[in-house]
Amino acid sequence: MAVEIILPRVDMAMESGSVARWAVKNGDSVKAGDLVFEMNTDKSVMEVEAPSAGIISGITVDEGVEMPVGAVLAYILAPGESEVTPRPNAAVPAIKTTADSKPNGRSTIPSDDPSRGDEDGIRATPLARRLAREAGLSLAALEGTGPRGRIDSGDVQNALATGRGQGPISGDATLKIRHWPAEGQTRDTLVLVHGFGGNGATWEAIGGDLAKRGFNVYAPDLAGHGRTALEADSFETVVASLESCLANLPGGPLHLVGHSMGAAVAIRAARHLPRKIARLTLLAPYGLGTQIDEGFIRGLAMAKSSESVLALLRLLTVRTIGYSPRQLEIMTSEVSQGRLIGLSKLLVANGQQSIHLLADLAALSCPVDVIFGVMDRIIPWQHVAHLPPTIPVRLLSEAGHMIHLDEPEVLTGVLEKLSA
Amino acid sequence: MRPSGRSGPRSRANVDGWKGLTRNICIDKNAKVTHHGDNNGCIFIVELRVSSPLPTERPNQRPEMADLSDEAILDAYKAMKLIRRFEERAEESYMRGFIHGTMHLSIGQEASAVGVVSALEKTDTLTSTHRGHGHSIAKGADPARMFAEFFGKQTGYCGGRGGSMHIADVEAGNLGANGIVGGGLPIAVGAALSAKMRKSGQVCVCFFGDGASNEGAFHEALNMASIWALPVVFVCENNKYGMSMDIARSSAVPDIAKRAVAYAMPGIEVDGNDFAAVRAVAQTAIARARSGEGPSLIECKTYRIRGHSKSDRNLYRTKEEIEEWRGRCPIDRLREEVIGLGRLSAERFAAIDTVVEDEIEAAIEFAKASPDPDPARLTEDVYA
Amino acid sequence: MLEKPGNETIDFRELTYAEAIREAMTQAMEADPTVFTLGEDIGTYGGAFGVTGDLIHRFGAERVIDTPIAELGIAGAAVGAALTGMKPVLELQFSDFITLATEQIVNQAAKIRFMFGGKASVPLVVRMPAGSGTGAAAQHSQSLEAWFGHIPGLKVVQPSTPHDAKGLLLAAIDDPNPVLIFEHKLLYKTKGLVPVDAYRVPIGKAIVRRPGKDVTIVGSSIMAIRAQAAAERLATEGIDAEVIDLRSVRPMDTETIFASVRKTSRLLIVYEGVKTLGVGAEISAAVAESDAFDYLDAPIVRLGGQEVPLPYNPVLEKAAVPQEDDIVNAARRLVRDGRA
Repeated sequence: MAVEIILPRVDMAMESGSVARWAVKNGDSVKAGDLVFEMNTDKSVMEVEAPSAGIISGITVDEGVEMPVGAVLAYILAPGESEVTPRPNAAVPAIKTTADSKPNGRSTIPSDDPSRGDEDGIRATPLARRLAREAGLSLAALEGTGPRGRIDSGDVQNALATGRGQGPISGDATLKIRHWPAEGQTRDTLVLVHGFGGNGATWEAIGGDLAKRGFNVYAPDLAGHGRTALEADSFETVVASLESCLANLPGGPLHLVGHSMGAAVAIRAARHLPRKIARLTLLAPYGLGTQIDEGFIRGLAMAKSSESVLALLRLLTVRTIGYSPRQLEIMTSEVSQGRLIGLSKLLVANGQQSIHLLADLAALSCPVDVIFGVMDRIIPWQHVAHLPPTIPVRLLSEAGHMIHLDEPEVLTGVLEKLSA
Repeated sequence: MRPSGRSGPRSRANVDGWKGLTRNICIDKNAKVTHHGDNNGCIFIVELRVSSPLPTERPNQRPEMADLSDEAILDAYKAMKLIRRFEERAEESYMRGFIHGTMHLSIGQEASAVGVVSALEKTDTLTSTHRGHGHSIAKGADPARMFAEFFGKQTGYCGGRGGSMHIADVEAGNLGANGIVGGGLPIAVGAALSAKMRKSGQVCVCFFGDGASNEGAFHEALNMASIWALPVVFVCENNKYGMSMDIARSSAVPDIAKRAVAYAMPGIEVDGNDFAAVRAVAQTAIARARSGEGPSLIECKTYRIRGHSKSDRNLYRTKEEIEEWRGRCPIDRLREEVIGLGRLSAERFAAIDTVVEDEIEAAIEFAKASPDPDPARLTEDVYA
Repeated sequence: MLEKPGNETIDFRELTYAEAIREAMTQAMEADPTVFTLGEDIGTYGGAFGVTGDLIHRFGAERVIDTPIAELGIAGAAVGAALTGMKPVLELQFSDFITLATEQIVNQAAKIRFMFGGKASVPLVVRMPAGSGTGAAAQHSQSLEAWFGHIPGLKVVQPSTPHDAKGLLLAAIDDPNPVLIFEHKLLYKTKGLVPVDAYRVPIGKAIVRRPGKDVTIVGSSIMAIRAQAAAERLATEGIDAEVIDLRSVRPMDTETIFASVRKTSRLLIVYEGVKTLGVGAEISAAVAESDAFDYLDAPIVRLGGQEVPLPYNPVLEKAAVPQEDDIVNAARRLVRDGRA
């Protein structure tokens, strides 16, 4: 029988190889042990010897062609044996890497999961996340008291107790609210109410500072504004939803601080919740007179681009406030939704303020203070002349409409003084 | 030599009734002695363990050969041939890609394995090395299950989980090949200690190589075996090379048997390629161990025709050296000596060759047809 | 005497940890002639820490075997004996010397059953004094249980009380697998109630030593003792700690730990082995991977040995491993501040 000359396996992981050099050709006579071919291996050139004596026949493969281990490369015929038809050997195809059979198992994060998907990277413990998830609470609405602002289970439980940020994001009648918890000795609870086109974030500058001084500070997003889902279909809706929010805040009577339209909302709310509101501070309040920059109000309600928003924002302050592109982007995306178009028409008609609140003010029993910036270009400070003499007035010479942005330390100081 | 096992006339005179025979009778402990005849002219019939012509009929044979019966010779030849063909066919299977990993072949060392193991009882134990196929087969391992193990199949001795270096059959006394050089030395001491404590009369044979004799375990094991007089026989198969390192370069005392004196035990050097010589030396050492006199160190001078493993290019030794040792093939030597002595015919050996060939062929077919282990059972049998 | 439900009474009395081990050896060797012990200086000398004591007088030199100084050799001999029908209990004089025996323990004992296709077993026990605090310095004070906990085929336990020392040794002798017992040196003289009869403490089960609700403290070996002391101090500050004695490194009872974390939401792990890549690292990962993750209200904190060979000077030696104060401080910081 013809003896096969195979491509031998010589290394542990070897699966294929090739003849580096044939030392014989068909018809050559060999004895056992003669060199038949050389092959390249990991370690060096390997000599392959003839396993027996005879005539070389049927060499099937050229030098350099990659063949699988065990492939028959030639035959040795005994004298008198006939030629063998070589079986075709499949050459080794180009090296294919073993496909990784494990799929990249990344499940998609459900986008309506309120506890995830916050691009700002909320820190929260696993337990907090689970409790929030189970309660349908948005972590974004919570403030963390742990290291590096981490939200822990206590924060979630507090939020659940205060009713803040409860329920799913859509179809929700409650206001979203920011909270700066008091540090150290606790003093009054302050609720800061933003103006038209703004949101609770406007109070960032002074919220933390006030908390450090012992105030428990809240800043809701009014209906139609910020993250609050409820639409501002009327002034009354805005007022009523603020009242619900105030009613749910823990603790006793509050010090309500309202800015511009927020002041107007605050006045009405204070009328309806006399026992809840201990004191009212009004910053550049809407509702004392008729004059108002209609163009600003309309412009903000209909702004679509960040350039328009920026231009409008410049009107609000004396100082040049630097807004980060991200902040501008958020503001623009909020106003450009067009949620405030209806409200803007209700607030300003024919170039004048439509809602008058002097009578409401006069009917309040709690102490009221008014602060105006003399450089206010939206509502003129002279409206203070309409106030009854029982309401003290403070005028800030270096402040525009956004008193808390132009003179934050002064404002903080005043609020502290008023609470003493 | 006295017949044993029966109280009765033991005088030389009576035994001399078998004149001329007494001096040449080899009687071992298990010989059965029956008494026939009357008290005066008693005749002892000694049934030897091997039935064969008595040694007086082999005046020209060396004692090691004379002591072997034909049956013992044929058994040994078959075992060595089985090992040889097993190794060669395993090598071929490896080159064809049927065997994963690597193998360490003992071609050329058959007489060392068979010479020692054939002198053991079935209940005796042994520990082996990474080059242990021969020891396993000599101990009675089934080549089919060994091939199955090499092919990684479920039907292998270790269910495909051990491979060539970890072949074992503990119940049959094969305490395992070992992937760690020197790993089996302390284990053999433990097996011997266990036998002594259980008073089982078992002997443990410990195979190791010249390389292992430089491991700390060698020193520790021989010392302990000696101080406790354990029934263990240490067999060093000195094939001149560790992996690529010549013993002259690696060992301060390259004749391993000489180290025995450091452990107060007999050290015997023997031609590892001479079956009869190995057998005789092993028999003495095993008897010594079994009698409670303690361990011995046997050094079988031998040679491995193939490289250390399948990836060895043999760059550290010459072709001439390999050829020279090929000429000392233990299987050829045994056959030629026995035929030359006229004890057995060439046909008897050829018949064995055929039987062996068929057995190996069937073994490979069995292995090829066997199933692979089930990956779902991967983590079974880690713990008892 | 203690009444068990069902009106059986159990006789207890106070024994030291070392005496409890000796009692286990005695009872095992009386009950089973295949059990024997070997090691350096365990016979006439009675063991470096006096554990084997007078065993040699009760059972003779054939079963209480003094060996030469040859850890690799005696470990291998124990493997060979275990493989062929005996049940050896090997004492290594210091757990640090397991480094010399590691070949036989890791490559042979742990793997023989698997490599031989399930057809053999190695019922071997290795007992070793471990840990620091006696001024024995770097080469005689280590805690290496994590190395061996990493090896499939081995079991690794650390008893912290005399009761557990006896029960775990008896369980180990019964176990057909190789079992390593790391005994802390400082525990040998501690006392505790030990039942008179033979009993087993299951290998692979942790135990809650003190229930609590504010934080889970898992301690292994002597740290389980220190953690309990720390818990008493924490209780006076209004922190209610649950203390778990790990007992078994491999297999590890993670379920008990998960259940505790679900209750307390905070986990502190204390162990003497070097902190990096030690037993606590495994526990942390296991908890983080499990459903208990969603109950965590603070990071998982580990207190382990410092990254240093154990020093000789006693002040340095104490500073190198967690002490009771460290446990109190860490638990307080974890509960009050939610951080490590």
